Amino acid sequence: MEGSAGLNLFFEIATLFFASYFMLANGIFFSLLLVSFFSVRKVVRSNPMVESLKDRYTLIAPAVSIIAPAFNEEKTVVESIHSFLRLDYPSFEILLINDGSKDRTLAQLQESFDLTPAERFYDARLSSSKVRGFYKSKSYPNLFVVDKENGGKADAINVGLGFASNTLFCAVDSDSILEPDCLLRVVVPFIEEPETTIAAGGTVRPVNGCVIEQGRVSELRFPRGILGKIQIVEYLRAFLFGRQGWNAWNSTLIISGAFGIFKRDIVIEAGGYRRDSIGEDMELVVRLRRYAVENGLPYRISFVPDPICWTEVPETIAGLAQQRDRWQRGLADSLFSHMRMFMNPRYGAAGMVAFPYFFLVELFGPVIETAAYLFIGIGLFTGKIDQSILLLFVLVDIVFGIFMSFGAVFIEESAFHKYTKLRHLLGLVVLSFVEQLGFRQLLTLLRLRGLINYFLGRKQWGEMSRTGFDAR
Amino acid sequence: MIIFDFIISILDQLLDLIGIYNHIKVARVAAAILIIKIIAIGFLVLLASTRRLQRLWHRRHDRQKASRYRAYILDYLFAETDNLRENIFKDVRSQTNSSMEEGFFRRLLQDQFRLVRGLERERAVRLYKDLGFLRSDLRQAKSWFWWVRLAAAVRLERLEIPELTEIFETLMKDKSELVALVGIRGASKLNVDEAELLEIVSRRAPARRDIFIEILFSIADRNVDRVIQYLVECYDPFIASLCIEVLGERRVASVIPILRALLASSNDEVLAASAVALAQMRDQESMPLIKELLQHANPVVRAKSLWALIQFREESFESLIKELEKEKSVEVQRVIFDAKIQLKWRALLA
Repeated sequence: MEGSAGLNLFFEIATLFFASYFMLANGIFFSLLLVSFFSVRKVVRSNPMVESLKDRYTLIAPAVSIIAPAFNEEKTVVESIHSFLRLDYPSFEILLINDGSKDRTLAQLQESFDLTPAERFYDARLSSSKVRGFYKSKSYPNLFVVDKENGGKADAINVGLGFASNTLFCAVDSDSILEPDCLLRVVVPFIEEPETTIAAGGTVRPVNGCVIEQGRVSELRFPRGILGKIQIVEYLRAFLFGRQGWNAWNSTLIISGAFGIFKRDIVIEAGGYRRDSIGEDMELVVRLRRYAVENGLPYRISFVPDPICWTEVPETIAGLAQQRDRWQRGLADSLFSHMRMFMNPRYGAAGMVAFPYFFLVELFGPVIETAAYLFIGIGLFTGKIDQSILLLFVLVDIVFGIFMSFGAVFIEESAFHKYTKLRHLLGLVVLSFVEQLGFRQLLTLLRLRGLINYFLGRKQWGEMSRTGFDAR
Repeated sequence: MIIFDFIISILDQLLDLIGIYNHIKVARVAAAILIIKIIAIGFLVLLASTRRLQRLWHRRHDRQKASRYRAYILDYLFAETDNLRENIFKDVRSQTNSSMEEGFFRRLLQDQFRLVRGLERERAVRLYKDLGFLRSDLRQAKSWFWWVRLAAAVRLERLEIPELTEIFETLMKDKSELVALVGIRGASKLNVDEAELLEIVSRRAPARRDIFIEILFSIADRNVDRVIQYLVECYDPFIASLCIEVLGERRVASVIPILRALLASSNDEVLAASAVALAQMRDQESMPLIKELLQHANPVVRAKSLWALIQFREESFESLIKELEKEKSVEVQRVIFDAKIQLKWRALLA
């Protein structure tokens, strides 16, 4: 009898805990949706202003250095540089950092762009890696190539920062495809509030299946496989809630590593990209925030909801698992190294709301969700949970999730209408169903695995972490 | 609250209906909250999607339509006789009968304003007026909603015709900040009193560099003395440095004495801007004054004044660079490095 009463109490408390977590997470999702709905509308409505700015960009646009690290990319590097060169922007330079590639990356560049050795001031504060050479292109006056010893992506960008001559720099993945007007759009916050804006990021979308001509997306299509298709909905959701919503509360914590634009000097002062970090892009943004607050600088980190960057997403479960594993470990790494911000009123909404949310829902969410699924299983098996309540909850939860995806799809598409065919729109609606039934649960498992790997990997720190990452 | 109770009662009835009873109030309340949220999202989706579907429906044949309309516009602008133009006008009139079509045509015509000059531009404006777009823009510029006013203001601003002065004078005092900025920008191109314009812009957009620079440039093109007077009178160092930048860019020689005096300013931004502007105008007499700035505490000022000195292309700057070799700040080192490369090239060419 004793034991049974104790068990009952345990079940009641556990039910209450899971229910309150569920309500909290959904409450935040819902408020993010509301906030981003209205802020996206505002963005769309003030669009004529931005469009009219474009006419006089030559007068006001700040010069930008594009920093593209490349490691063993002999097949794609020439094509992606061509796509960067075709960007629609009055003044920019491209710095390609050859991070000690073992293949013919440098030779390919030499052949295609007619490189000659050149001199440029190098600010060596950020990186101690050996720079083997600095080249400029004879055929394109704004293309430069840095050849350095291998040191990882973060280190490559740091070296690029040392060579960058403009006050703004833009870090890009050399395998993603940029919209021709991406710089024009993402630079708007720097024009509107030149004194305070220190960083800005834009929306990333999956490119799989699209027709690409000369480094540009010429026709939008859905990916072949179901996994790729669902990720379109997932990206729409993530960027609408995760970025636009937080941006409205001025608490952006993530700028995608595939495309972000920063003020050079403040990044250098804050210490540049961290070499030993797994998710160096998120870590940098969190650190910039801390740096600005702790030094009493006025600052703003912005997010531009226009879709500007296209990236390849994994279409196999193994590839997805590897990607999510890396993301989850990067998230854990960034959050744990800045725990000071947790519920700290000094950092404003970012510390009080966004950071706890990322910690509880994004980082430890998989643990709680998996536990809840297990709990439901045990409860049903032993008959401790009322089946009717369970049914009600599961139904309402799934309907809620589907409606959230609907919301994301329609709000994003009504604002930016990238998918121009009715067929696509209907497809996205169907995909919203599939996403909730199966894909979400799969992601929970993959993220849980990433988190476990993070904690296991921490014990065997050192050279192991990198070889492990490459082997997988 | 009524909605909440209502939903709970419906929920109860539903559960009764399928024969399930439950006694935990928490779960029912939670489910009710969620259902309210679902209804709210459904409402938003409806709001967003009706517009979207409508637009999708109307944009079925956009590409063909755009090329057809563009051909009309170009034919109209470059037609030989008025008679021909009259015919084209009638064609356009008959084809753009719905408001969606009109909007589409107007966008294409607006694009042409950027591309054509002179006589063709006048014709484009006339077409714009004849089709009644100007009238509707003027009406929309007085709308209740800021986004309607904003779009109308942006369209009107592109026209740049003198009879719009009045409407821009009202727009630049608009309640919405964005509309006011477009109004100010449009007014700066027309014959609006500069003093009033500057007064409004410094009050409405104290930190917006883009608007300030643009307006200062367009005022400088009309009346340089006004910018100089503004520079002398203003107290804000940010605005002052922008004025100096504009004057330096336009090489206004009459401002040199003022700039020389400003080299004793206490504000770093003003100091750096003055040094750069004086260098742009190659004012030899201010060189010794700029040289003194090399001892300034702020590295940015040191870097900018060194850059300015190098612009004078004096032979003495080699020794100057040697003196500064030990300088720690990255900004100054950058300038020195560039200067050395310049020296090397000069040696090669000589």
